[in-house]
Amino acid sequence: MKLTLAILFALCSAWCAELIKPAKTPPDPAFNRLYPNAEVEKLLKAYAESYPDWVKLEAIGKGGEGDTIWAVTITNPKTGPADGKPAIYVDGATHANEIQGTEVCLYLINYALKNYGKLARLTEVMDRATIYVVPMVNVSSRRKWFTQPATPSYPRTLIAKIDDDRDGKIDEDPFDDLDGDGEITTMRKKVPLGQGQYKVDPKDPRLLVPVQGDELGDYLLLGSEGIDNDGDGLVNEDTPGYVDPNRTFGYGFQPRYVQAGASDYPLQYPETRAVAEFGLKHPNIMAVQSFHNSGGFILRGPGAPSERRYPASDSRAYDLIGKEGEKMLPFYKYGVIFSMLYTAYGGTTDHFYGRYGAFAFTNELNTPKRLFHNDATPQESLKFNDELTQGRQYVEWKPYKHPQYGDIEIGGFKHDTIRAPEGFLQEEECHRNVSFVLFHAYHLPRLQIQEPTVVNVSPNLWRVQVPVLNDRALPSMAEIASVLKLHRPDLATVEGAKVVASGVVRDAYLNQVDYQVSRPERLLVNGIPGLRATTLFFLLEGAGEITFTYDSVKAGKFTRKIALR
Amino acid sequence: MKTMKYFALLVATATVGLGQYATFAEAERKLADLARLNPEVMSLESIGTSAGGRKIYAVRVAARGTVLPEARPAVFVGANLVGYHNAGTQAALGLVEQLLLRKGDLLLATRTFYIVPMLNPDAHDSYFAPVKLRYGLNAGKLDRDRDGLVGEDGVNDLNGDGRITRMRLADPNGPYLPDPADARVLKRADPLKGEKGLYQLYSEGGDDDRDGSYNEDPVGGARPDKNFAHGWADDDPESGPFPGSEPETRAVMDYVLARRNIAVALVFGPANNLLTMPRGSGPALDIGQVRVTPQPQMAQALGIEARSYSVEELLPILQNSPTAQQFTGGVSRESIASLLGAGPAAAPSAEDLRYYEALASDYKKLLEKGGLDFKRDGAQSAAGGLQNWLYYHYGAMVVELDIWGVPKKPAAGGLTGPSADVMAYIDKEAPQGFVPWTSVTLPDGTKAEVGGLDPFVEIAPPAGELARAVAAHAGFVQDLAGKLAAVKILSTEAKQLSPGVWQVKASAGNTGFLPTHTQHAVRARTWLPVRLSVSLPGGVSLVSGKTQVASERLTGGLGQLKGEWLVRAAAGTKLSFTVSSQNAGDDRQEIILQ
Repeated sequence: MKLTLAILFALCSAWCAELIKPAKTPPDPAFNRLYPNAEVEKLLKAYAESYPDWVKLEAIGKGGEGDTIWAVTITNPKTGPADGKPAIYVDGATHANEIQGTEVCLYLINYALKNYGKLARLTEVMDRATIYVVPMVNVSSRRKWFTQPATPSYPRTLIAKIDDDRDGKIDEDPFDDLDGDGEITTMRKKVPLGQGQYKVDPKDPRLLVPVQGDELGDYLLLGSEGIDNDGDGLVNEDTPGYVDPNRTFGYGFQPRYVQAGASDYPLQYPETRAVAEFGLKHPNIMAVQSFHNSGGFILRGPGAPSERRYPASDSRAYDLIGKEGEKMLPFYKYGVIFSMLYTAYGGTTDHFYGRYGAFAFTNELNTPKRLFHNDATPQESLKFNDELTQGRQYVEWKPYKHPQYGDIEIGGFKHDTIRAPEGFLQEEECHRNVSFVLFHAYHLPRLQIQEPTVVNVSPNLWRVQVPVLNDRALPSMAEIASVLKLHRPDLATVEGAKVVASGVVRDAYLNQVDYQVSRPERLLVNGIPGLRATTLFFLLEGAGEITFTYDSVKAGKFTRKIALR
Repeated sequence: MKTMKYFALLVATATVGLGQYATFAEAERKLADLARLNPEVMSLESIGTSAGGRKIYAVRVAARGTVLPEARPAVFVGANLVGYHNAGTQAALGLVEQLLLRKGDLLLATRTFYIVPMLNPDAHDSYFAPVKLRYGLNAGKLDRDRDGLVGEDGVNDLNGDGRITRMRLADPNGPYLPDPADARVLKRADPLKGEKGLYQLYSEGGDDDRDGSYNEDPVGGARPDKNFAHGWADDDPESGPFPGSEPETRAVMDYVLARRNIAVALVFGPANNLLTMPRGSGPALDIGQVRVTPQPQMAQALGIEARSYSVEELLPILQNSPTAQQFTGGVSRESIASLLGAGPAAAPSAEDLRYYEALASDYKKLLEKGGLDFKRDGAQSAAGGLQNWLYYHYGAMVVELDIWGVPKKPAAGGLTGPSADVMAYIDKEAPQGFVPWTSVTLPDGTKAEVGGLDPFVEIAPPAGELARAVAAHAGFVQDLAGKLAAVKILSTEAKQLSPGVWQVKASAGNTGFLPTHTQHAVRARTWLPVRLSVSLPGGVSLVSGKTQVASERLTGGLGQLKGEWLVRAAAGTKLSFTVSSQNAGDDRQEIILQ
């Protein structure tokens, strides 16, 4: 009865769904800025309080310095429990410096809740699917990115005590905010002609360019702001961190000598362990988006050329969604991680696909092409800073007396630039990426039991053929899940008659059936492919009405009464 | 009085320990007793909880010495991860007892022993169960055959003999037939020899869930011995949802990762790496043979062509490249291999195997002396098991030993191969070890025969043999503890070059038998290098350079680490040199500039 209701809701949602009535005034955040952790937490709690029937907020773990990792579950309470529906899982800030993944997550929560009942397509998705969101995976390091001197690339990793330079001391030579401006920028030094590899860019004196041809250089680039704290002749060679969360997942994991930044064993650290265990506890997750930055990519696995190839039918489903994404996200390119970006073992997307059988993308948010709508050179990045941010992004070079290098200059881009979009671009970035998430969720498998064919073979013996249609692009079970035996296949059962034989119809017209040799009353089906119908065959002994049930781990449970006559 | 009691108990437990198998509860009690009676050298802690809620115990044996136990070179022993290798647990317990008898010896004052005797507590008691079976699952929940029903089709003791053996079903298309040399044994039919199969072979038990498969979904969770990351099988539900998912595997990994003073590790499990050298599962990728093909972006960044190179060939090209330096944090053959995607090693390094061979020769002598067979073959360590993880990922010198196996039978016609040894052993020593084939009827009416080898006959020696094997292995571990690498300052020298400027030199070496690092660890870089440094008192400085030099590996006898510094100091200044390692000790020497 409940399930029939669910279907009814799904079918009529476009015209009979009502707006969600908030219990109190929901938050209305602006999406032209970044939110430090405390503000994100406050917003998440406010959404949970405003939409108590729809939003569940739970702590799923603690970061390396005790910060709570929050998970949000959004589901329509009237269409059944969250775990009974196909789900999309979305996370952000796995890399702490890839900051605006969190804001895209917030945008998704805000947009979905406020537009349910208003926008038909969104409403349909929300009626039949569950949305899980973990906005801040690498939560402790993300906090530090806001509260401590940072760069566009630091802090990035998990909180981990690693002796980067293997000298027996840990984190003894970090970056130093030498000029005390709250930013770690870069250092350069003017030297006598011939002693440097760089010269001042004739087009913009703020930039250095490598010497070419027969030129002599008079500048050294000295890297990020810092000193040789431990007197070992190296600067900033043992900074806090370096276990890269996106190299710690279990599928295709490789140790540190093969994959830089890996942990000692997969999912050793609490942040990514929490994500992996969340995935394990929610087998209904069939779609995944893990937001990173930057460069403008829609990436999928495999992360390494040596990994198992993705089966063809799964690749087709990926391609359909990824290629459409390229249109929805101007300048973004869809492709495979190892061939489009670089080899990376042990990433989120590989794990969700190779372990849980879910179709996972990583979007690399933000691309310099959005500055002037072409490939941005360093000169153009500075022009953008000057003309479109009135100089907000850039710290002009200032002289500094360095204990080791002597007279140097310190300056460069601030930590919230380069990888993160400027505020006025951020809302568009959020909206387009959330639209891609919703497009992905739109294609979560949607099953319908179609009109069955019932043929009387002899008194009390019936041949029943039931087509099950999946009218969306993702299958109800990934092919990789059958190959690797990741979870139970879909299960078709009949109540009210004895099942004499069962199988999957290969060709309805030529009467070809692949029988299940044993235990016909539990017909196991390796999923309904995307945008196809699969017809199931039953030879039944009995009379009257039967109940046919199709139960998919990923796509939900559906029943239909069938009269044997 | 107290001493008397201690000895009485030690003798009593020693007898039980060497000759009999202990249940989990008995072993737990015994460990608690030993710890209570020997507080000055033994400590017992729980390092985790199994899926079934049982404690995973770790013993530390170390006497008071000049170096704290957690900083001394240590030996790690882990036993019975597989769950049915109870002989391994006995060997670990026997080792603890043997060590406790050496309380006052230098060995315990200079070494630390970390021993985890029961790595898979949930499976430990299958040897003692009313129906004995080889069982390796923890007490988690797993739908092994992915049919939506959990633990619905395990084995059944069809003939009621209290043990799970084999079951054969007559089938004209079956692959097995009785071996003409011994009809008790089934062999695979070879169609090229005109042989025709007569049977299908299964473990003992009916098709409880009528799905057409026998015993495919027993009660229980994952197998911890398949749950480690090296060689982990992604298509076997028993290996766990991901490597390191199980509490048992995590506990032991966290334990050894927190103890980088471990110099050598032993796994007591079903394989034997010293009777048969570990083969691995693919190429060793010793650094001299590694070829790499940099990806285009990387090649561009490094300013090299994107083609295939040997690491040797790249070393001179990248040695002085600032970009390569920045990417690797130190250009070496090993770091180039890592940077450019040489991939993982799948077999032990040839250099490490030389040490395995040397240890094997000592080991075999010890077995011979103990009256144990040393000519038999040893099984290979399990993919996804602890031994492989310790070697390939953790980076330790590690040996897996099975303690005991069916002795090799002198060739004398009849059966050939491993079953010849087993049947000869059964006929001579263990007549109960073979269950004659007898007819049974399965619940669904299927006719079958049950029989074959006792589940433990090949892996659990009888009391006398067990005692000898335990004693021999306890001896081997202690001998091994005497062979560990030990770093020492070998020479120091100071020469005044001009008033107030001194050239000082020091050299350090490894005076032990084993190297400070495995060759594989040089690549895996899981241990810090051996470091030789000069400490400068206030007011003394180097003319230039760094205070520390390092070496990734010092072999016993041969390898030396040399440091040379220019120091600005007054005559009469005292300088000190320190050589430091994580698991081969430290040494310090002073020199007065004069």
